[in-house]
Amino acid sequence: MNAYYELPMEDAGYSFGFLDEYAKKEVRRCILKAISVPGYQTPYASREMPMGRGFGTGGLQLTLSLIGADDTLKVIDQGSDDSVNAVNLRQFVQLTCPGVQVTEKTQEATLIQSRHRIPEKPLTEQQILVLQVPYPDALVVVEPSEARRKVMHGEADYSRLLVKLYEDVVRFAEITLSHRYPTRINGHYVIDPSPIPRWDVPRLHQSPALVLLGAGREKKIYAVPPYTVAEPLVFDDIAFRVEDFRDSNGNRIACRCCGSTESFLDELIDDAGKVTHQCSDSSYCEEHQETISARKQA
Amino acid sequence: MKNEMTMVEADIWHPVQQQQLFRSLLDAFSYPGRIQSCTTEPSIALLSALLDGQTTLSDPQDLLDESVWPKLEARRVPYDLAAFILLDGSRAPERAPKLGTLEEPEHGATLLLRVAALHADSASELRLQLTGPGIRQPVSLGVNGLHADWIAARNDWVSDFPLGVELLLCDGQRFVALPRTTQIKIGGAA
Repeated sequence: MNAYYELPMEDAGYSFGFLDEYAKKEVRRCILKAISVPGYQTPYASREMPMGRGFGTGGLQLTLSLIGADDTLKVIDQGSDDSVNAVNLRQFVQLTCPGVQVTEKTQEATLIQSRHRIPEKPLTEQQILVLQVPYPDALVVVEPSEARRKVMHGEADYSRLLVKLYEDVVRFAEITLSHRYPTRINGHYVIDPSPIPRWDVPRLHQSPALVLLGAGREKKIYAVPPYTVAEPLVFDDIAFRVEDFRDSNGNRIACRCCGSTESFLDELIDDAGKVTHQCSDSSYCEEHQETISARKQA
Repeated sequence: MKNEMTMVEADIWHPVQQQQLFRSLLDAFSYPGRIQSCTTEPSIALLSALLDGQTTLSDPQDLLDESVWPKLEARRVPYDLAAFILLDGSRAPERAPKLGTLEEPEHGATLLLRVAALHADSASELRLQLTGPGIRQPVSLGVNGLHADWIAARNDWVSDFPLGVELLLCDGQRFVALPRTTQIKIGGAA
């Protein structure tokens, strides 16, 4: 979206939040059912949005149905507030929801829409996290028929998914899923937690904040309620593990900007072929840099 | 101008008010047992925030004023088919409402029960102990004016997860949500 874009204003104009009230009520009713049946993919009538499906329309419809003029919104894409997708979505919400504040600081936001990351900073009960989901069904890798997948989900039959994980262990001595790691919610439904890295999966467990997941193209909404058990699918003798950020000497790699050794890192390769690492969560990285420089001055 | 503002604030049919009502509902469902306050009579306000022509409502005890129906837009259907049901909590529960199916558990009904009073801690006729998703420490909830058979009936209806019903208990100014995942025990805190 270019900066000079204006919504085509017809006589009636657009209502607050772009969506009409009927579309919002539909999404709202689905959200409440999604919370009541944790992890169940609740179907809803996904509307056409003025952007391509696959660009976060599911998350955006959730955000627009939730948001009010007193909310403060943060939009992130792969941990960054400044990437194209995040900037576009944020501009769109500012354009259609007059009065809404936007922020880049995790702790200031009441509503956080995110693509592929959960912020490093722990969320609170006053916040809601909305995740954009491209493929909502964790069973799609083992069963092509949606009708049959719905039965399998209802019966909590995940044996074939466990066989797929087992085959990975046999072939590679490691479960090869780097992101979208199947996670069981409240002991029943297994969800695809959107393409968040494994690093973020433990944050879903007993989170104080509500997590809502929206897939616009697949027309599904599901939820991880606060203080709910969320366990990654594993075997008794093979523990779940997150990304390993140690170098060949076994030392934890630090972020090249802020020096943090506690965050999820992106690997960057420059033109000379030199590999460096940097925090994926840009807001966390900036804040860490500020505290370090403040400490140096003191 | 000031008059207009106060009118808008009290108007449960206004989108701004409905958004705020929905956010209280969202908090109620996210944290079951937390009592949410409401500026007007909650059972009708919640219906106004949730219903439109795409959904169904049953009012078997004729609690709703006839003039409210057209504003709600919802289709009037029998008890067994309704997505939303408004009932008087002081009367005993009847047969099971829609519980959904294994493939489509979202079709389980949402029941709005009018009760006399909700209390977070003071002594009440009926004390409930709540645990489950959204509840970090077991919560106790006091209810006046809820027929004692309701909890047993509800516990029966939600016993086959994912099938079940959602309850919304509403008194004069406040409401509380009990989604199907909440485990309810009758009795005071141990």
